[in-house]
Amino acid sequence: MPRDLVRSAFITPKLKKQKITGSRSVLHLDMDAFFAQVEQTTNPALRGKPIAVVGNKKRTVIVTSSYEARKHGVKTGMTMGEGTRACPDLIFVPGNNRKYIDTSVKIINVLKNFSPVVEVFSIDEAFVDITGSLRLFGGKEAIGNSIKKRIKEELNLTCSIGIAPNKLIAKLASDMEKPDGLVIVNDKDIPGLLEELPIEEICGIGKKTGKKLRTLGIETLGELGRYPASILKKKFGIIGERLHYMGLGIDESPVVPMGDENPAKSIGHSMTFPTDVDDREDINRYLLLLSGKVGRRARRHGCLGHTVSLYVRFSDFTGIGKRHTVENPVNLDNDIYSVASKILDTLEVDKPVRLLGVSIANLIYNGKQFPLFKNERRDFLLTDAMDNVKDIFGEDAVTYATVTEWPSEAGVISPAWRPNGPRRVDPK
Amino acid sequence: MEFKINQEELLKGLSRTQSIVEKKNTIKILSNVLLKLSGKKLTIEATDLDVGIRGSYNAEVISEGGVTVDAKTLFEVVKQIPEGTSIHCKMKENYWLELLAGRSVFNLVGLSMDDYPEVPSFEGDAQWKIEPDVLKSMIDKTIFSVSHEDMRYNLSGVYMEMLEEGSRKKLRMVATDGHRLSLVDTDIDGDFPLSKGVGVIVPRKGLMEIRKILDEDDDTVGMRLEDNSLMIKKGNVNLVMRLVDGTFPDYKQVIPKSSDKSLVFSTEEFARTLRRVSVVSTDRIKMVKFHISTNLVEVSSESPDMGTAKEEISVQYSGDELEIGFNVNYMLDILNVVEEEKIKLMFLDESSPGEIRPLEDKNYFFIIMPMKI
Repeated sequence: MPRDLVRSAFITPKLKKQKITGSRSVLHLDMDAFFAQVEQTTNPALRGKPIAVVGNKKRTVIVTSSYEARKHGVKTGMTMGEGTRACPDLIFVPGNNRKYIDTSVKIINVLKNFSPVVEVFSIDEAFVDITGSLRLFGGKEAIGNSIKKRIKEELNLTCSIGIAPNKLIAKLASDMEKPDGLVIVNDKDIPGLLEELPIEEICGIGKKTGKKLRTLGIETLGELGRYPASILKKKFGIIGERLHYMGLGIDESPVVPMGDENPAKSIGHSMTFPTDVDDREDINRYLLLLSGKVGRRARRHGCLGHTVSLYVRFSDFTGIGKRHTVENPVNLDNDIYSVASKILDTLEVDKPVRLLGVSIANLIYNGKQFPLFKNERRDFLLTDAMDNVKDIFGEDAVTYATVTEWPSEAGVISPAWRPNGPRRVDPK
Repeated sequence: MEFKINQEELLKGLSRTQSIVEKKNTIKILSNVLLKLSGKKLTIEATDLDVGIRGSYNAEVISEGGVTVDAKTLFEVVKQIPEGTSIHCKMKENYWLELLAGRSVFNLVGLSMDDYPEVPSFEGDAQWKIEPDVLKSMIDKTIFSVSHEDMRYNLSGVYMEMLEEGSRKKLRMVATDGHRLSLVDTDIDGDFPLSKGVGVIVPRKGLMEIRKILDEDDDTVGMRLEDNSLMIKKGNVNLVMRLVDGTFPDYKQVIPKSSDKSLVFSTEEFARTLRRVSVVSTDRIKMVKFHISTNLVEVSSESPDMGTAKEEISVQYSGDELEIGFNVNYMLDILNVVEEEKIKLMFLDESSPGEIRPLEDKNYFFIIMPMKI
């Protein structure tokens, strides 16, 4: 028998075992005061000063504040008045989502240099499974430091990183030495770490669940782990079991890389407006903006959609959605817009609109047909040219005139935000 | 209202109405057919307000009158009755229709004929006439190019206009869905009532109904344009359809003027090649690539999930090498209706419209836009 076959016979079981016990290394990256940092980086005048990023609307609240502002007690969710009271020198900066998204994409690209398994968790957070990259880059600490260094050098931003055997603990770890931290938690450290930690500190236990757990006499994660799982199950149902594992620091959930999942089933964007909109003209402009986002993403993935869906949420949080299937699949901004707009015509919009969502589904991955008529061909070529400009100069480089004059993009990006793929973006 | 009729005669009349009646059921009476008795004839009418049909059939009229009943139900009932049976129908109270056939008795719910919309009737003489075979061929060559998109209302039918060449008058039919175009001309007998360059758009559904009755016999088709409707008379059947209210795009602008490359294929073999190669494609829209080099065309298709397919065709070609993609279904739609043995594919480059014509110039041709590779 050739020698390496013999050897492989011995190696395989070990590899197998490793897989079963699932000794993983998961890295969690969390940008420090992301929006505020981006603003400070792009505008040197703001550096070192207490700033707060707010939405553009009148009824806005503070979305993020710089660490300088946090020192004075400025907190996310405060109104502008409350912010000024806490810190009289506070500078308010209206949020610019497009800038953040652009930066976020760049950060994700940095992460992809270290492992293909990157899960975007929100605009400023990502998980990376570095189990397979450890040897390549010289271990956990080296990877953590290299990522921090590259983000600092390329984007002039700081971040906090946690590296742990699973996502749950990694996320916890990244939060432990903010800002600009790097915390590595090994298996053996987990029990000690969780023992005294208040239950609300962990991702997944909010105020409501926390309150319920406290009525059971559970104050810390250590106590949660020791608490009988059966009672948790009775009390919380299916989540009970997960809570039990959370207390033990166990989390089997894999890092799901973007783009590696099944081919996207739909591509969509939605957005909550800074103020409710009832003017059809304004609604149309948002519709174009959203259609443009959907179209760009579809073209990037080389796909077209046979079905266009529109979702409208009104000021009273009621919503209505409708879809329309077209014979020839679409991915040009204007084509998506015109179908979405036709759908809107058939909907009864008698209340101010709070949110609009546009998506295409029934995707096909080839088949871009040149249009026969000249005016349509112009559209086609124009879109192509715009895409080329965006490819070179970034997503912000060129857009429609009706959209540029838009002073008030919503100030917050939802945790569901993903740079690409089928997840619908749903800013709150 | 009471009559007796032969099963075959009634079935023939009802089957003509089946694809016309409203299927969505938004207005109940539109899913009904109208049965009306006058003289020695039974008239059967159906309409969805866009297309209407009226046919008259031999029946033994016992007492005059009329009623409407669900088209689908009545058709299914009559279909199940054995051929040759005499069917006896009678309207009872509250518009119930009693139908007796052999030992079977059916009582069908009906509605008053007074509520049935009036289907305009073909009155006066035909303005122009056309032989059924000629019209059939014109419809077959154009209808597949009609857009299925309800967004593109002005493309949802076949454009008809008249051309004058000296003393000869020609009827031209053009259809396009924005990606391909069919054009066919034919001599007509009579007068198209619109002036030169002014055409009408005949809806697809109406054309399909015309197409159906063309197969029945050789009676000449008479046509009339009146009040935004096209009326057709053939034998005992009248069809009327509301014209599409829209402006047909300037189709002449897309007819290529300078296609410097041309390839000749055997229609049949070319179609077979395309069908074979396109098997390897999972998408709803199947693209085939043509790699054209000196005296050789390589037709290929690929799908990431299934693999690749390739076939070579020898041709006479001496121009630049190039690669061009086409929607294979568009190609096959065309090849299916070409009667001539050889076709000519002409084009300028990989993003300009291509043209398919019979090798010997005929009265028709097609334009097809390539796909982006």
